[in-house]
This record gives sequence, C-alpha cells and structure tokens, in this order.
Amino acid sequence: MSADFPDGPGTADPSLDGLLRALTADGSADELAARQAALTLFRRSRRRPRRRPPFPVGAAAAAVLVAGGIAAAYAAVLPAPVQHIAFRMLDGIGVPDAHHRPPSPGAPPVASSIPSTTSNTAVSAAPTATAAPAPACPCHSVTPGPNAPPALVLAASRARITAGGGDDLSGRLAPGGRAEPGVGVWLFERVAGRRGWQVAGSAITDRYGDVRLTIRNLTGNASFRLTAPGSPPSLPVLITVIPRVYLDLAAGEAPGADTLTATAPFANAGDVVVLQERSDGKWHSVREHKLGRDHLTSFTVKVPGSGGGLEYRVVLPATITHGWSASGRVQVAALVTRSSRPHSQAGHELTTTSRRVLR
Amino acid sequence: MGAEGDEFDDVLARARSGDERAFLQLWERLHPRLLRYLRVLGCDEADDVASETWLQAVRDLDRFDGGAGDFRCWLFTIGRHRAVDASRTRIRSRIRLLTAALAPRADPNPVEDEVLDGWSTQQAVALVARLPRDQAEAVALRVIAGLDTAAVAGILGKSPGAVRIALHRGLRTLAADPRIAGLQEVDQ
Repeated sequence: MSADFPDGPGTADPSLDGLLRALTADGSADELAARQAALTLFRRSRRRPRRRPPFPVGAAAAAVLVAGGIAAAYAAVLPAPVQHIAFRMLDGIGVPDAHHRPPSPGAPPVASSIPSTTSNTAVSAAPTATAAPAPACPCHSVTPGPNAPPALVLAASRARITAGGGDDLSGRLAPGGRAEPGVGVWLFERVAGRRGWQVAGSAITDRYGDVRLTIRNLTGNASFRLTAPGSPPSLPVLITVIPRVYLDLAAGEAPGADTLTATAPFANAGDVVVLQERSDGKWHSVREHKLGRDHLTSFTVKVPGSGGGLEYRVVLPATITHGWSASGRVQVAALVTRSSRPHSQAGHELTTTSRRVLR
Repeated sequence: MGAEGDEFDDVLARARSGDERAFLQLWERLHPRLLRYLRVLGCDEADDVASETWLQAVRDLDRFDGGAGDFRCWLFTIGRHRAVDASRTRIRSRIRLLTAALAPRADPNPVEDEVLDGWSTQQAVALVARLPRDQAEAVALRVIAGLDTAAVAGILGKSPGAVRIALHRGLRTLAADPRIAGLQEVDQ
C-alpha cells in the first residue's frame, strides 16, 4: 500500500485503513478471469508483421498496424470478447465480425433453440443447420500428433455461471491450421452425475471455420464437447453452475427463538446446507440440515440477550452437480428500548425482539 | 516507489520487448485496479471497457516511452477516455451499481467468499462511487490507481491543489460514513 500511496491519508486516518486495504487488495479470481484473453491479445499484437513497405514511413506504420489487426480479425482466433473488440475497431474498413456476422443470403436458417435430451438445457447456434451429419459419440478421443494443433477446439466464455443462466460456447474447426467452412459439427453434453454424452445441438461452420452456440437455462454442472466428421472431438469444457442460496429470518413460535429459513431453488433435495455463526471475525459451522423437496430447510436459533447480536449465514457446499455458494448474512439481535419516566422511581426497560438483515 | 518501482520498471521493459510473463505480471497488477476505477466512474460494462483499454495499450506499447509510473498514468488515462466513449453509447447505471453492492437483499456474487468476509472490495468501490464525481475520481486515481497528485491533476485537467482538496473532502466523507465504522466493528 505504501508503495502505491506513499503519502496517503491511510496513515493519517486509521478509520480508513480497512477501506483503503479493500480498494488496493490483490485482484480476485473474478477480476482476473480475462487473463487468458489478455495474453492472447498480447501474443497477437507481438506477431504483427513489421516488413518495410514501399511507401512513406507514416503511411507504412499505419498500414502495418491495420494489417496486423485485420490479419488477426480475419483469422478469428482471438477469444470472442477480444475478437469482437478487434472487429469493432476495424469495421470501418470493412472487416466482418466472425462472431457477430449476419448469415449470408444462402446460409441455412438459424436454429432458434435445440433442447437437450439430458437436461432442460437449451442450445441455440448461429449459423447452424438441421442437416449436420449424424454425430459420432465423443466418448473415445483420437489423440493427435504431439505437435499438431487441435483440429477442433471449444471454449466457453465463462467457466462458472449462476444456476438457470446461460453461457456462450465458441468452436473452431481448423485441421492443420486451415479453417474448414460448411462442415456440420455437433455439440455433446454430459450432465454431472449421469453417464454418457448426449447431443445438445448442432451447427455448421462459417467461412472461418467458426461456430458459436449459446446454452440457456443450465441448472447443473455439465461438460461440453464438439465433434466433426474426420476430426478428433474437442477437449471437454466444464461449466460449473452456482445455485444461489438465500437466508431469511422470521419470528419463531417459542419466545426468545427465531427461525432462519434457507432456500436454494436450484439445489437438489437432500443437499446439505450448513448454518454458520460469526464470532471472532470468522465463520464457524454450527449445524447442518438437508434441503427438503421444497428446496428449503429451517434452523431455530436463540435470540441473544439485550445488547448482543449474532450473525448467521448458510453455506451450500459444492456437490457433483453444482458449485459452492453462500447466502448473505443475517443478524439476530435483541433491541432494548428505554422508556423514560421522569416521575417514576427509575427508568423502566421494555425489551422487544428485533432483527436486522445485513446482506 | 523505491525497489518496487524499479522492479515494475523492469517488468514493463520486458513486456515491451515481448516477454509474455512480464506482460501478465503487468496485467495482473493493474487490471483489477483498472476495473475498480471504471466501476467508480459508474461504467456499466467495466469489463468491456477495460478490454478495450488493454487493446489500445497493447497496440501502442511499442510507441510508449516512459517508466512504471508513466505507464500506470497512461493506462488509466486511456481507461478514462474509453469510459467516456462508452458512456456516450450506453446508459450509465451508477444507481444500479450501488444497489447491487450495498442493498441488504442484493448480493450479486454469493459465491465470492470475500464479499461476505469482512471488508469487500466491491463494497469499498461502491462507497467511493457514492462520492461526488470529482471527489470519487480523485480518490480512485490516487488510491486505487496509485498515481501521485501531479498525475491525477494531469488526467483530470485540474490543479494539484484542487485535486488535494477533492481528495481530502472525499476521504473525510468516507471516514464519517457510519457503514465504515459499523463494518469495522463487525470485523473486529
């Protein structure tokens, strides 16, 4: 901190230390999620051709810069977000966006949504067709040569998504580094906890060998692979689903006791939910319950005496079908109200139960 | 900056010569700060704007001439320009950011343990974003970006004195915010 903020106010005002630490904390996993995309961007920029062209230096520099960008853009090998930015920067000179390109007049119609046979996941593809050849199961991989680039690759825009959400998958068919347009590819899905790969959708590669598929309503962890005739299947891409878990407080039936109800709509009946209590600045697990068929479970907690308060949260541990999740925190506290009666012998204390949700 | 600054200079030099590891060091060091700064500005799509910022920075890296501090200043200047561009085409949703980060029921990232344990960066960024614009930006560039007063003044087009005043007022407002005291009590 001192290196970044040598004469900063943090030392002058200790009350701000926590805030300043948080603002300058190391990057979280979420903030660093685009690491690979940034590296790809850097690599592409360093491979830009730097030949001396037979025209003036100023124009040459601009031309080299633009040529490098166009090459990268036409190659369509950047990750989708970066690729899209590259195309946006270059669209003034007529470079089409491979990931946001409208279908050509002769292209087959875009399939709106293809339901998966294994879950309630829906997959849409663009561009795609219904005439892709019959798929081969990707359960047995053909290993390419040690130095050969993979002919078929698949990548997800996000590795973790909120349950019920969607994700974009980008695939590319380029055996030997040459893009293969007009080839039918199949997306296979393996839902966590189930055996075997099932067809989730299909698409036809565009002129750059690219396909883009959108998954919707994913409710459990799943792996995805692409297959194409004559090519080994792509490596599997795992998408972890994070079910939200909520904690709500209600007055209990017995005096001095409250009820905390945990709800996780996308978790499974029987999943364990752990109630945690905060003390000494740390969370401590105090009880475990299993979710019922209605995806909720309740914990009864004592209301602490006047002047005190306890914080709770629930944690939904990761299972084979979903990732780890935690609720917001809830505070259970007793509220003391002083009723001032100047004519009585002493002040009377009226105690009521109060609750605060901190989340 | 001292030794850390010298080390950063070396990393920058290696990145400019094409060293991927050095570039990643640079990116990992500055990208989270850039994202936070953009969020303080109320950037609705901070990730996209940050990507565009790095795209320009990487593209022009060969032409950049300066040390670590200059690079940091240059990067955040690009980020500010890209955020302004973005705000012209997208609706700023500062209110939404604050709602997401501070409202009791809204926990946008329940999977992030750090959001729940003690001071979260997201909450801190949201608190800074609540300041008046000039104070928020002065605090963000000074604290989050780690720029010195002169550099902040250059980016904002103000005098160093005006930046100091905005920074002082912003920090004083933050120090008086009851949520800071309350949350620190919870953490203790």
